[in-house]
Amino acid sequence: MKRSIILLAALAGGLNAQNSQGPLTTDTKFWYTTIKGFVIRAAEKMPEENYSFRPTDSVRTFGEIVGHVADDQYFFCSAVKGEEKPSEIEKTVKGKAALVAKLKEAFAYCDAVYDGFSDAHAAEKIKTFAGERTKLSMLNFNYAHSYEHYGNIVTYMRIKGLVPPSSEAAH
Amino acid sequence: MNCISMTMRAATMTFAVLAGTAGLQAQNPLSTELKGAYNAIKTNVTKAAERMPEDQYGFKAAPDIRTFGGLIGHIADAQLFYCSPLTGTAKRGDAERTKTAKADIQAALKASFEVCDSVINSLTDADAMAMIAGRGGQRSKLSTLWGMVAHSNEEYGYLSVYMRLKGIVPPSTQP
Repeated sequence: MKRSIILLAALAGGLNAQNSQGPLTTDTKFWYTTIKGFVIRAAEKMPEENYSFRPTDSVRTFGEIVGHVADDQYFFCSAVKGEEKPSEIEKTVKGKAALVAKLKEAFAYCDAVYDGFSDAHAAEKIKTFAGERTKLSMLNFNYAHSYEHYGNIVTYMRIKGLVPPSSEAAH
Repeated sequence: MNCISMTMRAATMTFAVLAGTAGLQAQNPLSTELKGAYNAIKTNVTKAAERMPEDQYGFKAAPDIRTFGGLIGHIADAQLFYCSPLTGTAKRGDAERTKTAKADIQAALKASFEVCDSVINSLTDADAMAMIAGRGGQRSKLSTLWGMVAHSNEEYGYLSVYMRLKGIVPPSTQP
């Protein structure tokens, strides 16, 4: 809860002042940028030997989660951008160094989409596998989905005795 | 496919929920799509709370992390934090700190969803664009509520691992 309050205060006080893209886009970029930072720092902080760690057999390894988050940056952002960008990082990339690099590339791809967006495009419709959706909702769903997997990542890190990036300031 | 939490299949289901509201979608696409994402995480968290046995509500995956019951209480408190100001009466929850029994925590969760329901179910796109006073400035209702959905998603990311550790399939994988 304390972190939520801090995030909202930062959102309100800092970024809304620079909302040349419009308030909706500015806020969306805030949440996206925040989770991007958490996921990248978590991927960098987890030791390489724990990239194959999974707390139980029926779940992804830590490395597979990192790959999955990277794949989904392409999945959502390419839809908004209007291009085909299939990605199979989760299935094909192994090892911390390669996965961190692919994760950063995936977020860089999305960065360009968020940076090029504005409220004028918010309600524009795009075709998805489930029908038409607005561009803004696809960008919002992207960061909301990344937050869910960050919850997985935090649990894995805590099991390994590591403090996740979102809690580092409190330690 | 062995995986946790919101897989692509679950994402598909979320979008399918949205697809079922085509009429509303046409008039108020932004608020309708928010509602779809909110209803998806509401369903997952509610079912997770139901599915976890009471004797596991005190379980935590590591020493420095919340118990399962603490996570559900935290979601309830956070949803009140985000949604109640939009009703005109800001409320602060204390479920995480004061509730330990499964039934009590579920009741607090349900109450928090009812507050959020009252805001989100009546939201139109015009209303969603309205800027509201917050700590230190203004933000749109839409952005505030998407932030709430993202926060609940994050907490569900913990819940799904806890459930898997106890041999229980989370609702995003098996509704």
